[in-house]
Amino acid sequence: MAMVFAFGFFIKRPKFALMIYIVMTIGFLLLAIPNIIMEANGNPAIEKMGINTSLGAMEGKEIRIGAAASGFWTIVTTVISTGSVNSMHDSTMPLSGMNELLAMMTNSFYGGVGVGILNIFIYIILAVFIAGLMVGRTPELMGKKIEAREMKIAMIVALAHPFIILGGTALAAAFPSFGSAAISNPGFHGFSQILYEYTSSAANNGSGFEGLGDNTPWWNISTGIVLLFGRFIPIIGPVAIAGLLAQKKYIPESAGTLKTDTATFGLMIFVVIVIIAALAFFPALALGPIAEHFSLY
Amino acid sequence: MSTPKNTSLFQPELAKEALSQLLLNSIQKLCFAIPSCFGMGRNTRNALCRALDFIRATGQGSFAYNFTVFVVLFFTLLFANFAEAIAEARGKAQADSLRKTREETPAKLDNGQIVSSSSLRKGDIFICTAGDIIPTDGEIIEGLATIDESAITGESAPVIREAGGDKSSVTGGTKVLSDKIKVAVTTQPGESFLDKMIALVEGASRQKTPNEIALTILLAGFTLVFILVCVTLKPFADYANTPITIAAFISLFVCLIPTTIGGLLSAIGIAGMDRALRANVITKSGKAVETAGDIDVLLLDKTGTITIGNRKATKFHLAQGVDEKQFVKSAVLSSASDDTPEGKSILELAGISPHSYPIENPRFIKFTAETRSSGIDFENTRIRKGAGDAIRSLCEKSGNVFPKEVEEIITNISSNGGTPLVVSENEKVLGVIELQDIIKPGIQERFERLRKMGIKTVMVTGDNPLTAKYIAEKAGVDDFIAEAKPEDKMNYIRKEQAEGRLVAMMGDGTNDAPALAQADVGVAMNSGTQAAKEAGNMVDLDNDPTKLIEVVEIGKQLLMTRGALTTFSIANDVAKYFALVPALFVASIPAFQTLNVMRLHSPESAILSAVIFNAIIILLLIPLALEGVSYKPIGASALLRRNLFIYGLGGIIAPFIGIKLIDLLISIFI
Repeated sequence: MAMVFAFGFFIKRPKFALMIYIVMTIGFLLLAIPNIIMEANGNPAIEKMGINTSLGAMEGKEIRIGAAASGFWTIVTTVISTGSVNSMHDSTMPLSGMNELLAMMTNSFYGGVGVGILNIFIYIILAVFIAGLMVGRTPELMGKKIEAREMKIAMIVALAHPFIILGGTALAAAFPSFGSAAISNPGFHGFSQILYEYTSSAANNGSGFEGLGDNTPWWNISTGIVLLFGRFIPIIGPVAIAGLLAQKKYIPESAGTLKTDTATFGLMIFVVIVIIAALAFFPALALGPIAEHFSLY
Repeated sequence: MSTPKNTSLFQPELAKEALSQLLLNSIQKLCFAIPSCFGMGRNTRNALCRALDFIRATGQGSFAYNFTVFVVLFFTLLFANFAEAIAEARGKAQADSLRKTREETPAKLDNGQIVSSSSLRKGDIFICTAGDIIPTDGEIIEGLATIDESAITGESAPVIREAGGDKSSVTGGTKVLSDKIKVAVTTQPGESFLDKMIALVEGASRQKTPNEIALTILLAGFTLVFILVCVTLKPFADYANTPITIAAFISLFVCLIPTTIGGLLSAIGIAGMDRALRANVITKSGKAVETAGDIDVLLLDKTGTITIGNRKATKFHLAQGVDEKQFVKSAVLSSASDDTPEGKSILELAGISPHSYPIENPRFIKFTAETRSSGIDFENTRIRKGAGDAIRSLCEKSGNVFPKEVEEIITNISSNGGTPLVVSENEKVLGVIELQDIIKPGIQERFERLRKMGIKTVMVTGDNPLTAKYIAEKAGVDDFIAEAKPEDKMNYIRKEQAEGRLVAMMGDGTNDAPALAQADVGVAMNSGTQAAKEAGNMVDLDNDPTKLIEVVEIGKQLLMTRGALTTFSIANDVAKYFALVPALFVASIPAFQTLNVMRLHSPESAILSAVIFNAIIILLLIPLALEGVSYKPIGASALLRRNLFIYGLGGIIAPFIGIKLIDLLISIFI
C-alpha cells in the first residue's frame, strides 16, 4: 500500500495516488465484506444435517479466530501476495472461494508487497487509452502519450495472466491422468481446486485449495512454470512501459486533457478491472464455484 | 463540392453501390485486416462446415438450428463489411463527381499548339482565355483572370487570380471566366490536386493512423482473450461433463470478440475524412485529421479570422477651431480616389459623395510607402490624409505647429485598438479620422468554445503591440503576436512545440509555407500559393480562416467515435455472457437457470438471440460510425462522464433489452 503513496509522492501527484488507493480499497471491500457475511452465515448443507451453524461455516477454521475473521483474512491474504492462511480456503463457502479467486485474478486491489502498483498500472494504461479516446484526444498519462508500443506491452501483460491461469487449468482438466487425479473432491469443487492452484501460482500467492494432492511432479513443474511467467511478465512489462514513457516528450496539461485524478477516472479504472476479470474468467468461475454454489442452495 | 454536400446517409444508389462493393469485398479479403473480423470470417466458414457435416455429427442440435446460426453469423460478417462499403461508396460518389471535371481537356500551349491535358508535364506553359477549363494545376506567370472554382469548392462566386503574389495558383478543372492568363504547370500528370483528392476520397491513400493501430492492438488483445476463453472452455466443460455444441462455441466466440467495433473501425476512419471533405477541407492523410483533435495551440491571423477583413472609419475627431463641415469635406475629397476599403468606409461614415463638391482639375496623390499619405490637389488646396507622424513632418516642414490636442487624440485612438488617420489641408491639421477593426460577430463565443476544449488561441497581426493587445482582449484570444513577421510565427510554433504542445495554423502566402510545414496541422487556403499548399497537410477549399475550429472538432469527433464504440462493444459482452453462459450449461446443470436473469426462452433461443443481436447492432451503429459521436466542449472530465454514461452504461443495458426482445420474437417460431 505504501507503494501507491510513494508513487504519488515521486510523480508529485498525491491526488492521483489517493484515487488509486480508493479504487483498490473499494475493490478489496467488495470482496471482503461478502466473504465475512457468507462465512458467518454458515453452510446450509451442514445445517440440513441438524448441526447448529450459529458460529458460521466452521469447517477448516480455528475456533479462536472464528468464521468472520477467517473470512476477512481469506481476502486479505489473496489480494496481497502473502499466501499465509489462518483457515482452510478449500473449505470456505463456494462463493467465498470465488472471491478469493477473483482477488488473485484481478491481482491489483493493493497487490503484492513491493510490486503492488505494477498490475493496476497496466489497468490504468488500458483505462487511460479508452477514456482518452472517449474525450477525443490521443490518450495521455501523466503528460505522456500512450501509443501503439505501450498498448502492445500492456495488452501482453494483461493477457498473460488469464493465459497462464486458463491454459494451465485447461491442461490439467484435459489430462486427468496427470492433473485431476490429485483432486480430492470430484465435480465442480474439484475444478475449483485446479483453478485455484494455477491462479494462486500466477498471482504469486502461495495459498491453495489444499485438498488437492499437489505434491507430484506434474503439479510442481506446471505451477512452477506458471509462477515464473506470472511473476516476471508483470514486472518486465510495466518497467518497459515506464522506460518508453520516460523517453517521450512531456505534454503540459490543458483543459482538454483528461484529468486522471478524478472520481470518474477512478470508476473507469474499476470498470476496466472488473470487465477484464469478468470477461476472461467468468466461464471458468461459472463451472467451478458458481456451479457449486447452485448445487448447495 | 455541391453534389456530395447533399449526400444523405442511405441514398438508394449508394446502397446499391455499397452492396456490390460489399460482395466483392467479402470474397476478396474476408476481413483479413482486422483480427476480430478475421476470427469471424474463419468461424463463419467453420460453422458452414459444421452445418454441412451435420448428417455425420450427432448431438449437435437440429439442422435448422445450426443452419440459422450459420446464416446469422454470415450476416454478421456481411454487416461489418457493409459499414466499410457504405463509407467507401460515399467517398466514391464524391470521387466520381470530381473525376468528371478532370476529363481530358484540351490545353493550348505557349506556341499555339493544342495538346491534351494528360500530356502536360511539369514546367510546360499553357495559355487559357475566357471560357477555357484549366487543364491542370499550375501557377500564373503572366496576366490576371477571374476564375470559377465552383467545381472544386462549391463556391459560385468567381475569384481573381493573378501572376505574382499570394494568389497565383490555379487548379485543374476550374474555369476561366474572363481575361487571359499564362500558366506554368506545377505538377506531373496523375499528381495534380484533383488526382490527390480522388485518390483520397476513394480510400486508396488511406493509411492506418497511430491511434488506430493502438486500438487495433487493444481489440486484438481482447480477441485473444476470448479465443483463450473459448478454447479452454472445451476441456473445462468436458471435465464438468457438460458437453457444449460446436455451434454454441462459435456463437460464444463471435458474440464475445469485439466484432461491433472491429467491423466499424475502418468505416469510422473513412467517415472522418469524409466529414472533413464535406466541410470542404481536403486532408492529405487521415493522421492529420486525428492530430487536429489533439491540437493545443491555434495560430490565427487577425485579418479575416478575428476581424472582418478591413478596418472601418468609425469617428471624426476635430482639431481645435476647425469647422466640422470643412473637415468632412476634406476627408471625403481626400478619399475620393481611395479605393481601399478604409477609404470607402470614410465616405460611408461621412454619408456624402465626393461628386457633390464641385472641384476642378483634381490631381490625386497616390499612397506611397515613402510619404505614407495620400490625398488630392485642386486649385490652391492640398489635402493630405495619412499616419500621424507623416502628417506631422509635413506640417512642421512648412513651419506649422502640430496641435497638442491632436497628439492626444492619436494616442487615445491607438490605445483603443484603433488606427488614426490625420487629415491636413495646406499643411494645417484639420482633424483625425478614427479607423477601427470590427471584430467578427460571434467570434468571442467561438474562442470560448475553444477554451473549453483546452485550446489556446493566438492572434497573429502586423499591428503595433498596443492595438494588438486591445483587439486580443476584445476578441477573447489568449495570446497575440504583434508586429509579426513570418519568422515570428515560425519561432512561436517552435517554442510551443518545444514545450510539447501541438500547434495548428492557417496560412496562404509563400512566406507562410515554412510555418505551415513546421506546424503539426497546417491548413493552407486553396487560394494560396502552390508552396503553401504543398507545405500544409490540409487544404481549405473555402478559404475560410475559421475552418480550423471545425477541423479540430472533426478530429476530436473521430477519436471519440472510436472510443465510444469500443466501450459500447466491450460493455455489450457483459449481457452476452448472461445470455450465453447459462444457455451453455443449463442442460447439464439445471441450477444455472438462476443465472438466466433475462429469463430467455430456451438455450437455443438464447444463443440465437445473442448472435442476432450481435449482427443487428453492427447495422444499427453504422449511422453513428459514419456521422460520428456528437462533440460538446464541456471539458474532458464532463465529457468522459457523459460518454461513459451513454456508451458504457448504455452498452451494458442495451443488449439486455435487445436480446430479451429478440428472444420473445424467436420464441414465437420455436
